[in-house]
Amino acid sequence: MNILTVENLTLTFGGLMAISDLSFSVAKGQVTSLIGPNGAGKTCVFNCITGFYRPTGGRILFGGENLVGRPPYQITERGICRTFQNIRLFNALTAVENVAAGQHTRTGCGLLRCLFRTGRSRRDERNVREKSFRWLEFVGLTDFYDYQARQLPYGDQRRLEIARALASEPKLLLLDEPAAGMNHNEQERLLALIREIVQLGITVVMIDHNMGMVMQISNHIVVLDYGRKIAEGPPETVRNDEQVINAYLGEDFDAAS
Amino acid sequence: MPIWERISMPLLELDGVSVSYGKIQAVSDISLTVEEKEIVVILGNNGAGKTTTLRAISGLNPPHHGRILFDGREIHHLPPDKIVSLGITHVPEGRRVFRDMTVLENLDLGGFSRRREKSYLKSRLEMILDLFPRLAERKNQLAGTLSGGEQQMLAMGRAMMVEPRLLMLDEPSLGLAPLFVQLIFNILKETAASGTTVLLVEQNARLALKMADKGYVLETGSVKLSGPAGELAGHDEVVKAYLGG
Amino acid sequence: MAKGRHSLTAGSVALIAGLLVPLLVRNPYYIELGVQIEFYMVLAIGLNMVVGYCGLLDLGYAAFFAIGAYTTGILMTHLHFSFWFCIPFCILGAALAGVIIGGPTLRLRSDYLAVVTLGFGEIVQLLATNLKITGGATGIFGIHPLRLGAHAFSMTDYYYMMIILVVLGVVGAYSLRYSRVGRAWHYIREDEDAAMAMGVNTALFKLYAYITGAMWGSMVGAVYAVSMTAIAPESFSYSQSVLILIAVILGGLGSIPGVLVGAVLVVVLPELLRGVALFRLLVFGLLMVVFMILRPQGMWPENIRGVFKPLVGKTAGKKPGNGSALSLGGGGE
Ligand SMILES: Nc1ncnc2c1ncn2[C@@H]1O[C@H](COP(=O)(O)OP(=O)(O)OP(=O)(O)O)[C@@H](O)[C@H]1O
Ligand SMILES: Nc1ncnc2c1ncn2[C@@H]1O[C@H](COP(=O)(O)OP(=O)(O)OP(=O)(O)O)[C@@H](O)[C@H]1O
Ligand SMILES: [Mg+2]
Ligand SMILES: [Mg+2]
Repeated sequence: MNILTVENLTLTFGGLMAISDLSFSVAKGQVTSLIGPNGAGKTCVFNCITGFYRPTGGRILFGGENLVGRPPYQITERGICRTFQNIRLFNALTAVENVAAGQHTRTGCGLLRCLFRTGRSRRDERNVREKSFRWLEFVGLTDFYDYQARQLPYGDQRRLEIARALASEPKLLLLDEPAAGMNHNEQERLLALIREIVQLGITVVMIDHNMGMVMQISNHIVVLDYGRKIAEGPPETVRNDEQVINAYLGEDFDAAS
Repeated sequence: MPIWERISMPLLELDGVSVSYGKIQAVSDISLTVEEKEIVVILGNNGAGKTTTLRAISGLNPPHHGRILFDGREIHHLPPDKIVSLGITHVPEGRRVFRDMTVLENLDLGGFSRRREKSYLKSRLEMILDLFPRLAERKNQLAGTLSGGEQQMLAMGRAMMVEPRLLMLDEPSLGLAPLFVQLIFNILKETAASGTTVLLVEQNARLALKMADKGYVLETGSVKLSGPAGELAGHDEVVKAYLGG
Repeated sequence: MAKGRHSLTAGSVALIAGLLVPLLVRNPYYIELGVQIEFYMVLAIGLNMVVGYCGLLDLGYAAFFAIGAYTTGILMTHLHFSFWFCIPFCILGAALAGVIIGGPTLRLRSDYLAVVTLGFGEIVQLLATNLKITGGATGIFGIHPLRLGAHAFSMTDYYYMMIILVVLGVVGAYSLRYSRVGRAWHYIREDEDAAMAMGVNTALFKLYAYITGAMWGSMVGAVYAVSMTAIAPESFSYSQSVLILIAVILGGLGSIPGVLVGAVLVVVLPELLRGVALFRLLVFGLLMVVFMILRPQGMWPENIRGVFKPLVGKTAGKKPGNGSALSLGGGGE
């Protein structure tokens, strides 16, 4: 069953076609990867799904509903959450408070309830705190809970961003280059983390240039080049596709990865 | 100093350097040397202190202990702009481009320290746009709207606008497509051959060790291993931790 | 948090000292100075929610202070309303003005707000100076002081009344800081895009911050009107807005103890400098520059770390959802 379907998605900036007539779907409970050369339009696809960019044309169906035109916060409410390619954490705030951001849509106290600390708001607070620490632990950052986000090394910042996204209890998690800046060891840990996320029943769509990792974990791969889909299928098919090798992987891909 | 000493002198030398952020000691007692025209790679886990080491050299996080010598001259007390003018350029972690400026404006800024030499800069700019055709296509686009990889190309291009004596790169392959990573590494090799010394931090250990002359492995702020790149690539611990053997 | 307890003790000591002042000091000059400090404290607490918490640069905060003061002045002198009955009108007026100004501008992401609020502050002061109902340049006088039975409030009574307001403000500001709304404001301040991605309706929450500040400011204005019994446009000028902003920045953006300290400095420093008469403002300005160079984060910066404490013994062993037992512990070895 598909959790997300992208139909004829098109996005242009002035004369530039960042995405042209792209269609693909994401199967529920699986890992789908989006790969392609630099500037192929992968991040733009994420930006369209999460409402940061408004596509020029096409539809994005999630839970039987077209998401196009909805603002980002409504899309997060519906259960899609993302990380950013250029890590975007709340730099001056602590790691836990960053994670707590995820709980924003899962709690509902408004101004007055918060001001007067009603019973419900206090209950919510306890919950948020508990959940934030648990997600922090899930990604292995408990010890750094009161570090400011900017004080964490790059790789840890990436994991913190994932924890923050998970805290929004998404059905669909979009990861934009989660392995960037990680060495082999850390990638192994990330791989295990993503597997665990999938086990929680969360569907993952991932963009990454680390082919070793992508080939290992993906059930399905969509390849973009110049905004168009040039190939699609399971890892074995994609890695042997002539067009993909020419545009993206390179001849000696297996040796290089 | 006598000429024979000068010849054998490394271009860059860190001697017992320690750096801390407030109470946190990020780098402790690191010593390393980089010879002229060499490519040296620093490997290490997340949080090992690689970025901090580069920042110490470029004066962004001055060490509280130890000495940093560039060309035989102490630089650890100099402010970053002085260090740049000595010929050290730093491509920072995570593509720091000027988001609200165009690609060309970003590149122009890279040439700031030699801004009087118009024709030199013009030829450099042409060379860089040749090297990264994608940047040429997007000359007038705001840097903040470039794709991640395009920003990485821009950050590198900007650093190469003037031919520095020492080029320091913090994870240059970050976010680059596989084909392109190889291209970048080839460019670095050519750069080194043409006289620029390269010091880089890199997560893609396999490729980096293939290209580099020498490597250092950091662990929790200290040098754990060092040696010729070829030897390191065969070292058990390195294979296990960074190459996935 | 040790640090949290630290500021609690400091706060209690300051509060007790504040309560004792009128008993120990008989000189009315000091009481009046105290009241002035209190006004800046409450105003700074209000502006801090806008600028410190949410990161919205508001350069016309005095406008809301004016709306409250003038609404009260007009209602009490022309319509003979009782003071307490004026308050809802003040709050309503400020909220309305807040929506009209903030509604359209807060949708935009850049620094238009600074320009618009600057203009708004000017407009309000111009209106006050030129309208008939506001008494023109002379303002409104003869506002009846508050009464408790037959007893008319003295300056000392207002001093105590303002202490209550300060305490209410501090408690309210702390409650908001450690709540869903206060956190959302901080997320917006830190990175609006990321806040949006985490599901914060940024336009709405920015409006919340702006209007909360507005309503609070106008309420303070109402108290100002009765306690002074006369108001005039010059109390609500651009420089008033700036002075409140200075209290916030000098003390430490986002920090409640900080802005209280800032308010004290903003009132006391110029008073101490009376000796240098002509150069008073010049020296005040220089001091400010020196302070900012020495302590760029403010006198008492925000304690970011105190927000969440770990749940001792509770997190261990639990995984979110129905997670497996796979261990991923120990980042950044
Ligand atoms: N706001 C914008 N204005 C103009 N061009 C844009 C904008 N956003 C993206 N682009 C362009 O659209 C193209 C696709 O960008 P996108 O960020 O989706 O690439 P990507 O596939 O994620 O690449 P990378 O792997 O390098 O991150 C790029 O060439 C980029 O320069
Ligand atoms: N601004 C800061 N304040 C406090 N601690 C910091 C700060 N920046 C880095 N650190 C700490 O210094 C140590 C070294 O960090 P550094 O960024 O140098 O690591 P790194 O080797 O570059 O890691 P990565 O591979 O993740 O980039 C880490 O433990 C980190 O938490
Ligand atoms: Mg991208
Ligand atoms: Mg680093």
